[in-house]
Amino acid sequence: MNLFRRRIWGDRGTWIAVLVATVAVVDAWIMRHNAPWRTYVLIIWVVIVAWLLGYTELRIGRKQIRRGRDAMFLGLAAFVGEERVDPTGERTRVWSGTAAGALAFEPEGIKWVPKFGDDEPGEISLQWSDVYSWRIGGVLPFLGRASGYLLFTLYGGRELVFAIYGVRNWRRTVREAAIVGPTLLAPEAAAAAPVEATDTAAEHFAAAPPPPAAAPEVEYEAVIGLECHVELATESKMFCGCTTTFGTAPNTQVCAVCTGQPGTLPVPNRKAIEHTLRIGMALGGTIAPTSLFHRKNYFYPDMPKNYQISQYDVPMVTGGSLEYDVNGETRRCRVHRVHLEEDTGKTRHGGEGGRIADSEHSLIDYNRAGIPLVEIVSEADLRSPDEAPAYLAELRTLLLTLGVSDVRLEEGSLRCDANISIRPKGQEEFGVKVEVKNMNSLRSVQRALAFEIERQTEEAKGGRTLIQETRHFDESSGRTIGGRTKEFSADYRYFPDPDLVPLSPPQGWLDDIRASIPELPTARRRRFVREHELRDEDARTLVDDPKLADAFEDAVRAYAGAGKPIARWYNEDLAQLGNDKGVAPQDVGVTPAHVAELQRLVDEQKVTISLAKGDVLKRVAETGQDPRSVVESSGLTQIADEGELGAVVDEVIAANPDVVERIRGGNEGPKGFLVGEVMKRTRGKANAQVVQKLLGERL
Amino acid sequence: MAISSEDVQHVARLARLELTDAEVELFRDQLSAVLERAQRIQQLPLADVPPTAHPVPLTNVWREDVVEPCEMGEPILANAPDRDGEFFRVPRILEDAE
Repeated sequence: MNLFRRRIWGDRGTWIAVLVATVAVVDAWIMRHNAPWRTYVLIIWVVIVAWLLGYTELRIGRKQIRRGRDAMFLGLAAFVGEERVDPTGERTRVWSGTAAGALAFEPEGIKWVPKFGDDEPGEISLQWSDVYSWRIGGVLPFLGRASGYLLFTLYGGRELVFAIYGVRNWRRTVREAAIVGPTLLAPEAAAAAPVEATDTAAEHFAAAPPPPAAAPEVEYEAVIGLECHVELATESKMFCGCTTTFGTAPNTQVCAVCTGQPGTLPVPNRKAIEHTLRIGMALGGTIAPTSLFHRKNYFYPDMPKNYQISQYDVPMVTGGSLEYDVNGETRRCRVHRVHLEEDTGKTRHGGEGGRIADSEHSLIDYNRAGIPLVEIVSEADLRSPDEAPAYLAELRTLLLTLGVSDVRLEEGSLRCDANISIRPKGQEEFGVKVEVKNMNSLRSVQRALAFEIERQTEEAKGGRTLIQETRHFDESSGRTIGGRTKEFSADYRYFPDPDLVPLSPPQGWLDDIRASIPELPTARRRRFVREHELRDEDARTLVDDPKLADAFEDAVRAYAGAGKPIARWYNEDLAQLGNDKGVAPQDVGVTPAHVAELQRLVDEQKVTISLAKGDVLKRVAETGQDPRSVVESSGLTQIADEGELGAVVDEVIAANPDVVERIRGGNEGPKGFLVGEVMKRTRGKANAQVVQKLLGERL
Repeated sequence: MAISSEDVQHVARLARLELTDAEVELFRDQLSAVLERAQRIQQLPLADVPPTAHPVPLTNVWREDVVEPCEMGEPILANAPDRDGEFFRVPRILEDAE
């Protein structure tokens, strides 16, 4: 801790003595006052002491670092972070959650290297004041820091980091930032301290390689393209009548066709074709007048036929684009193609850890084999890892709006692979492409890409040649792992499936589909902002869930007034309720008509806004009763009658002579207290404006 | 157009076929003959003829999205070379040594 470096407190012995003494003093004081919370205060104080000591040791006495003790001292098992060793031998330490939060409190001397895209600064040096002044301004630095540590112990760090930063980018930066070993210590300390690595933690800090010799700095940019697989929402499979229900017992949804029995014939699902065309149109792509199904031949038991029916040189849709917002900026990614194929079965590998390499055998469930799957291939237009989740989120909203898929990431109905390469900024041609697989959430896509960019950049800067390969993202370590599987030969020997005739959707059908496409998310957002004067982010929250946006619009129609208060009901009050119940805001049991009625009751001053959003809302959600009758039957009607309120105000004034005295003396501050008292006595039903007015008159 | 023995071996590997040297020669001759025939067709004036994926002049054969009974799991599993309860069981999936 830099208290030492500044020589404010002398050596560590003094520091410990001071803390022990303060503990004794605090304890003695508590004893004298016979406080019942003595134990808590002591525990908290000891935690602070231990924390500061542990911290001190980590920073100053490198030799003493113990994984376990740090964890104990800091209350953070994660404190020592997570080590990443690149193939180059470069060691990187990554802290997340609580540990990142604790490190955020470290004053100068730490270089933060955010693991995000080009748009982030390459290096952030966090100052103590940057962190705590958001919340704890004006407190002595020591107290501020101590309370910061304390809050971290109590809240487990992560939440607090959010709270402190409150700024989106900061939060992300702190949650996952890499600190390159030597920078943990101040440069002079790192240089001076002899390396006496006695355990792993110390080794981590000590063994980082020396910085590479100065070379001309080349700036690289990432080039990213995404391949998304989307399971279409159909009742039956792509080429047979088996049901597509998710989560049933293995191999119960299979038939002769989807298990590839000899002599069976596949027949395409019209709905799946329609969905694909709808996606293509919504993306602004060109619909092929005729397209073909091909067989993609490969040897892997996830398809019982030994081939997957897919589309090859004539996909149903080519071209198009998707617009999305990232960090407040609108970007556009072109779409290369959209084609229709069938999903594969699920394989489960036996043996240790479910890894292919360790397993003796594999188990297969063909329920998923044959479910219609659309592949949406983007052009390599993305330039930073942040763009990937933004693109995917927009695609998800689009697909939901079109009603073509449930897009449940957790059920695998939207899956994504990424192609990523780097090239020196300004260079036209692409670098060597790496395909990254196995990313199961928007967040993992972003993490995997950020890692890949860093890895590739380091390789390139180290003068090593990148190889074209497929790498798998490992969720737990946040790294991509390559070289595990030698890929199947890319030679899939595609040929037109002789069992399936060409698709040539008639113009009338295409027109019908085009006419049935609902308003697209981008347009809908813009309209919400324009028509209802919503903020961008409120419009986004609503439109991200098309059903929520529909409910909102129904409610606005029923209300026949401004959309803004209605949006607030959905995005704040119903969202809160929904959050508690684990359902979407529109599904908490409050209909659009109810929402309109609630707002009308507030407008008519029938009920105070806080009661409307509190008790009344809760009762409507529970009983499904009409808000107006809830208000009337449960006596929650607002009191605006001056006579009735006047009596209460008089009572309150009489009960608080000292407060009244201070207000009359010119201090307006405690007026709110009196209003609160009136509210308490009327159980929240008093009209605040009337109360204010009455108080003003009487004081 | 003649193809090489390497081409034959490559195609055989893709199809997971193990061929003896004699077989490689046999198929090399046969495949060359097939390709030669195709090449002769290419010499015809075909600019106006679209590539034909299917000999049958049919398009748009499809079915409505209707679920049909598909409870064939058990009989199909019963015919599998190996099973583990409700799962098909296959030998360890080896990495391709291509």
